[in-house]
Amino acid sequence: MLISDVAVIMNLITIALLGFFVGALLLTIAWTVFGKLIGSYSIQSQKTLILTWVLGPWVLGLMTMLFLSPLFEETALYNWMESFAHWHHLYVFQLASWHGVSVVVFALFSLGLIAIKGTQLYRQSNAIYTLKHFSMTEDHAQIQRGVQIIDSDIPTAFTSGFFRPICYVAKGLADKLNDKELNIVIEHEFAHARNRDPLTKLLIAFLSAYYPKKLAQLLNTKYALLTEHIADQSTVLLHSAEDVAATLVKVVRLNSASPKNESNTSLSFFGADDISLRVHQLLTPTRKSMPVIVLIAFMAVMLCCTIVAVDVTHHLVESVFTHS
Amino acid sequence: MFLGELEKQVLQYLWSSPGVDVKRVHAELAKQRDSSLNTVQSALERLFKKGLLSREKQGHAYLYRAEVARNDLIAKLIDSVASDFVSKGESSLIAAFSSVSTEMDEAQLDRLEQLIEIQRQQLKKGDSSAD
Repeated sequence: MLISDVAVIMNLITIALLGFFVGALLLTIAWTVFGKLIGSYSIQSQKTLILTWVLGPWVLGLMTMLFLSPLFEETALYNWMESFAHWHHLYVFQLASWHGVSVVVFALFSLGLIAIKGTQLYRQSNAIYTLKHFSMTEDHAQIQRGVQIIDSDIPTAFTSGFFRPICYVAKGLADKLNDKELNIVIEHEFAHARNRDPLTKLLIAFLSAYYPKKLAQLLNTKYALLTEHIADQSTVLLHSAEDVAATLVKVVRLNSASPKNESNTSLSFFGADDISLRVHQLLTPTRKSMPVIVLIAFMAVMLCCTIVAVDVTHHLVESVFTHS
Repeated sequence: MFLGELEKQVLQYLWSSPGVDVKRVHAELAKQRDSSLNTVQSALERLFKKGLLSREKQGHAYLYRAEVARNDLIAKLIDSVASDFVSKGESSLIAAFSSVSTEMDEAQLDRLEQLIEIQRQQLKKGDSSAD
């Protein structure tokens, strides 16, 4: 049993964890109620909302820990808070208790996640390196623009790399597009590189991995679609929305016409609806924005619920698993 | 799919010279790098186990040839770049202009093109009435 400042730190970690899981649960329930409405807002508002959901449990966990920490012990806020939520035995921590088990399980899960994502990172960088070895062409004009041309018939273009993202365009696509269309594709990929989308997608994938799998997949898919909308918007600054939309449809036609290699099916991370959504968003962009005050009020309510739920859960569990 | 530097060089050579034994591969690669015959033999074994090479016995030696065409390997590599990070159903961590195999039928694509054309016409009308 720990009775010291270390005990306080361990208890605060437990509070943060409990706050995190309660926050994740509340936000999961809130998503089932409000999730369908998100699509009616502008792209920027949607991005803010998705980030709120992904970062929400982490923020709620940390805020709950802060409010129940001894940092505000002498303040009126703490005294008021104590009447409905508190953490008894803050200075005592028993490792062989549900508190200790929660911390260890969370740490193991996080380590496992880091190991899995790290392995995937390594594999992906090797795949890119090997791809460069076998297929890069010496198209100096495009290299000067910052685009790598892949010597392949597959009609594809993508951006990869976390800290120094690089745009790749396959000859199979470049040869079938006219100059204007190719510029649209390249501008779109440049926007991904400027926004560091591969890195942000990795962070979103990591942070959302603590949610139930179905919601995590939904958040990742929605975020990926938003990065495409935002890249499309950047492209529209230099080209007409109709030209960008027409290029998108043409690329999809080329993809459909290309012989299907059994290995390239998993590149299909956009469903038909997503391409359709992108075209509609280009032609008639949604402009309704979500007022920030609504979002702040929502998170404030979530925080109050989380703090109370943490207190209730703590008392409930301790009445079942008593520890000295 | 993980490929080491030597494996890449072996594969590259076998695409241009199929049906050769380890001694021939070693002699060719010796021009580029300092590898022993055993190291080259191990690389051939690994590539064979990965399904990237096939081999047939002739006398005491195996003759190796690439089992996968260069274009197919590139397709697989692009696939690895896209799919290694995520399980099926999740979004990929690459940012592609559009998917390789988006399943949209002709009618859906035609409808989208009609929409784009209608918008173009409306914009033209708007411009000419403004003039």
